[in-house]
Amino acid sequence: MHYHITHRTQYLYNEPVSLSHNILLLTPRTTRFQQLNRFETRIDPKPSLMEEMSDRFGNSKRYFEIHESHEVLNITARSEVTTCRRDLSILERSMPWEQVVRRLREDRDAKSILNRLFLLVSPLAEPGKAILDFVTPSFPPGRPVLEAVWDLTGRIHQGFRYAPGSTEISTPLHEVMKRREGVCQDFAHLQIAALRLMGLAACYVSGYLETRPPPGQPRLVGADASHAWIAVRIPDLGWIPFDPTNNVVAGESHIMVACGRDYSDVAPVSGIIIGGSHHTLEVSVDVLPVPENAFHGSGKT
Amino acid sequence: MIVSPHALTTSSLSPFLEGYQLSSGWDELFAADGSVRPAWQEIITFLEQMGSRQLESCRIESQRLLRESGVTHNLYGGTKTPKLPWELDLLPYVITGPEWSLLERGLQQRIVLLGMILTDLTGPEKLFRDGLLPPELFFAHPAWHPTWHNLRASGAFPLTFCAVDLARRSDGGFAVLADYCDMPSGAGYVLENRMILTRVIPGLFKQLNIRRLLPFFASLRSNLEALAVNNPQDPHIVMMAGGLMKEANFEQVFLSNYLGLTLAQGDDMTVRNGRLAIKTLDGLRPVDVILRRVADIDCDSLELRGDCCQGVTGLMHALRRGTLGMANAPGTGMLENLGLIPYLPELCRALLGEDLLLPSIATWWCGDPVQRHHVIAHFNDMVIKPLRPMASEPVTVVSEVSHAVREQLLERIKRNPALYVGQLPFQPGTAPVLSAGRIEPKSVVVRSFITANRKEREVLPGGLARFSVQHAHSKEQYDVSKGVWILSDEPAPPTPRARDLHPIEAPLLVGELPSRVAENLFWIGRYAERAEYAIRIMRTILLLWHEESSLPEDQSQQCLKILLVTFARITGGAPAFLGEDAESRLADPEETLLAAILNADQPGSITSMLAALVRSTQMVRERFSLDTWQVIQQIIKGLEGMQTSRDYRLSEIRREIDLFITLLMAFSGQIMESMTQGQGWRFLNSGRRLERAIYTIGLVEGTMIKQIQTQHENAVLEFLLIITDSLITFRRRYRSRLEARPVLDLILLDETNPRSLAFQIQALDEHAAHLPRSRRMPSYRSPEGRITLDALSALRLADPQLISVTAREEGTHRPNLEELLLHINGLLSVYSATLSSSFFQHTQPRKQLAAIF
Repeated sequence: MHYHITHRTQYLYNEPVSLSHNILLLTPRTTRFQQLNRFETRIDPKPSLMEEMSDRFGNSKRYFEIHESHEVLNITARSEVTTCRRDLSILERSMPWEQVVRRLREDRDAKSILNRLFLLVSPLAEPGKAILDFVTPSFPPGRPVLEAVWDLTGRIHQGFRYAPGSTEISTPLHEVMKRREGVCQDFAHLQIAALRLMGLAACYVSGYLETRPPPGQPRLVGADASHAWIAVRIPDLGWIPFDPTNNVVAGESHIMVACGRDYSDVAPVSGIIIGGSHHTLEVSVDVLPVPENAFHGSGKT
Repeated sequence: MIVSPHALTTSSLSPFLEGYQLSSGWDELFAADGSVRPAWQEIITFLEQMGSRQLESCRIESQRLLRESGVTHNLYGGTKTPKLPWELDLLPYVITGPEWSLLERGLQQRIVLLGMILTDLTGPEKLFRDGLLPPELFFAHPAWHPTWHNLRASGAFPLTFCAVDLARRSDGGFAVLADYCDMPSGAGYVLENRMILTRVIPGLFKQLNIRRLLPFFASLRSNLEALAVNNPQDPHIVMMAGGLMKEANFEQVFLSNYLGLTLAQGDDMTVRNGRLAIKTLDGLRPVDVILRRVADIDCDSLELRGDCCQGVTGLMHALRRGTLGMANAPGTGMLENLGLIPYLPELCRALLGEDLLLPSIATWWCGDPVQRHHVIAHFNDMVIKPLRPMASEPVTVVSEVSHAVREQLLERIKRNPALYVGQLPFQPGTAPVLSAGRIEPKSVVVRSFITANRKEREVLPGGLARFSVQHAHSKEQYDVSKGVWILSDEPAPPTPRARDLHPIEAPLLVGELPSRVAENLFWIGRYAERAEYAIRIMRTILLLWHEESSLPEDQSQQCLKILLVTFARITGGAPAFLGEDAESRLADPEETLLAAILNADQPGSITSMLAALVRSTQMVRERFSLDTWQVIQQIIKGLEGMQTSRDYRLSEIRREIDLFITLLMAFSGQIMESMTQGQGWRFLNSGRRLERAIYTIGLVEGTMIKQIQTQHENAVLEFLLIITDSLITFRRRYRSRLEARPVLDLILLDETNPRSLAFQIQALDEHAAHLPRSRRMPSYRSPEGRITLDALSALRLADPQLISVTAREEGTHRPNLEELLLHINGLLSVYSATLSSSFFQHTQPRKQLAAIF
């Protein structure tokens, strides 16, 4: 699929901000399953310095500074991305989860060794007894690992209510476990913490989701904002993405921006300001599917 | 075993050595057979010649010197809790030449090895991929952060300055206890200790051939310079201070002065266009190299831990762009890692092709299944420590805790094995220490310091030895330090002085004063004057209270009341005199007055003013000479004395108060005579003038406008002249009866009287003309200058006759005077606000932008 994505962020300050340092993580990645064709950002007021860099996880970040006094900061990121379908048959033939747990630790190839980072606890995916109790039933002995992860994805989808605004970044996971509600980021953190408790390697994926439903199918949740899901690492297969919010394997309509241990590694906009007193934040995301022929047509006669 | 070594039984030291009890471990002074070790023979002979009495007086002298130079762990703590002075043991920790060369080689090897490990960890991560290090050892470490990865563009050696804690094993060999790579502290104390011991026992230094410390610091300085990418000829090097409340503040000041570095906090700096700069009164001055005293993980709230305000926003990006050198490179926090110990021997062979020269104490990292099994199998014999040795996390000696605690600990280890190590209990070897009248053995840990660049490494021939002592009154332990002396076989070269260390820098140019320092100096001026003025009023109050004036009783009572109310109004330190119960309080003022003097928690009290002065001076300590600092130390001592003896009577307090006046006068004398009259001095003086003007206005208002009583006015005028220290001048000049007109003339309008209002305004006006002005229109008066000119003109145009006139109607008794003073008071507050917004505004707080999921 082809998508045009517009991601707008606006900070409104009630007093002038004299200096602002920021980092953006809004550039979609190019992977085996998606390609970034075009990307641009517009920032108002114009930054004094803007530089690109890539982080440890291979995400592309932008650093910028604003020196002029301002009361509004507008950040608009536009991307054009092509995604492709995944082969879902892998779900049916994976090794028992215990074997995966062993191989994640014992495989000696460079990738396996460095990916052991994703086996460990991270700041926002704090494990706990409640999560352990929740995850255990999905992992009976000998169950094929992807079947177990798929089952867990479904149980999170069923067991938790999607309630926009019910949580914040600072809401800890044990609170989400108690309330049985949250947003996509909470479900992702929950699944990551759960998978790591079982000894699996899991990462957090931020991105966008096409929200216009195909004819006859229900509209998927996650419109108007960034979306988040997870990926689990299976030796020989690589990272397999699951979306617990929508109970699907993340596929053609999921556009990946960045991955990391959890949200703290991939916040789309972060900044430190001087001045400003209080501020309000508004974010909007538009994911526009572009018909195949229209896309190709633009380059041909 | 009690040693009574035959060689010493008849010596003058024998009473000191009585009961020197050896443990089974290594002792520095005595060999197992009771003979004095070779390194100590000469020292013992020297001490014998000195005799025990002189030894004791040297000990007292060294404590006095330490105290006077203000060496403390924590300079901030206020004046309420007596701080622990950094105690120094007179006896050195001695290492012979041959032993030292072994140790030196081991430490040099260690810094090279650690540097190579760090370079790999923050870049290619080959050690993980090659299976030489388990990644969890670092991925799970609290100081691991994705930002470290490929952060630095330059190929500079990442460890410029490190410290290593060592101790003797029972066989006499040294073992490493811990590495301090992130922000090693203690080197400043090493210097201070050496200076003091050289002064106290110079003879011993002459007799023994002790290695000098200075060349090491010269190398450290040049290694820092070599980190500069920009401006390599004359780099601007800044020591980034770890906050003023941190215990190592003294040391940061001392070391930065010694190395010729600018000392600055994170807030003093900013990143603009990806370049680090220090904020000065004249704008931003680029910084080329940072010597970091802030933990790497706290350095930049934009990219690292967001809840810390010690760092500089954007610092990591400045580093990434290669415009900044940093010692040590970020990521060093991960090397403070006890779990690394078991892997070092093999890493050393793999990376350097050598055997590891310095062993550590036996350690097992619980993140490795085999090592974890060992720890759990021998759990009761183990000491369990956190992966990163930090004061905030407990070390558990398993055999000493209850079964329940043991089980909990096991549970925590199983849940997060990578975060723990197990070690066998280790008792460092002992060394002789001198405590009140005795020499006894104590377990001693030695901290060594190493500096390195890409090619060379150098170990400080000395160090900081420490042992623990239990506090006399509490169960708390505190550390006492010892100098470490390395004996040399070659004669020592002549001692170079500190200034030879680096070329004398061009004198600080105008405008290079950091805004924070300017603000602090301004407030030092204000607090010093405020305290002095308040004490002057209080002194006069006490004079009246003791009925030592020649006035008739009722007149004296009236004057006292007027002064009490005036004091309460100006200082805010005695609210009871203004409250509902004021009449009875004024009739029996003792309790309120005692609180207004002694209660440091009462804003406006005299002790609170003095404490504020002390705190502000401590924040810019590097700006004051040693002599000035000694005056501050005396003030601290005086404050501590007043805090400890609680039950003062008012009659006893005058002597103390007089002492403070003397000290404050000494302080201002020092400022006038010893401080270079640059911008800093101007800010300090502006503060002083401003405060004196405000107090003078308050005093005149309180006594001559608000509570005027014609029949007592003469008496009041006399006290007014006493408080403003103008009585003698008045008598000489006017030879007249006390009348309002000449008195007001002298203390308000006379520009030659250094205590008059006009004098203060005139001085403020002159300072205003010299404030930095590059950011302004050069040919006009500065905004501050316009305000002072306004005030000065009002005073010059005032008619002494008109302002002393009293009005008939009730309420305002001297309308013209009141109007004049109100006008000037208003101008002074505008002046103060203008000055802050022009020069101090940099200190605005930073905020983190909200984020949403």
